[in-house]
Amino acid sequence: AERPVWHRPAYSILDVEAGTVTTS
Amino acid sequence: MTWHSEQITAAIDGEVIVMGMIRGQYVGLDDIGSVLWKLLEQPQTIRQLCDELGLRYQGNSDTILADVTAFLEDLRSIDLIEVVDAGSTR
Repeated sequence: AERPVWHRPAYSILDVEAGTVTTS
Repeated sequence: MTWHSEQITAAIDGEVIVMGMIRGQYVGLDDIGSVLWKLLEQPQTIRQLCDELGLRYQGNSDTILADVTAFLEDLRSIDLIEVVDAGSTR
């Protein structure tokens, strides 16, 4: 099996107190 | 670097959700972010992480190094990981 292609790690931050979602 | 002591990790469908208790934030990681996070359960240097990821993924080593470094800086800035003494890395 071929190795998967690298991509930059991504994340989402849910800030409950501020009520915001931030995506990388 | 390794996991911060003030966080809780859960895996859902292979992807990781981390709750940072210091800031009260929930952080969802994608597939590669989740792999990287699991590697950080034990203290690792950036070089060790990049070497391991280079074995698992097709990518330019310089690109992997830059992406991993930036990602770790982001995680550190929100108190999900912390720097430990070099003697703690395996």
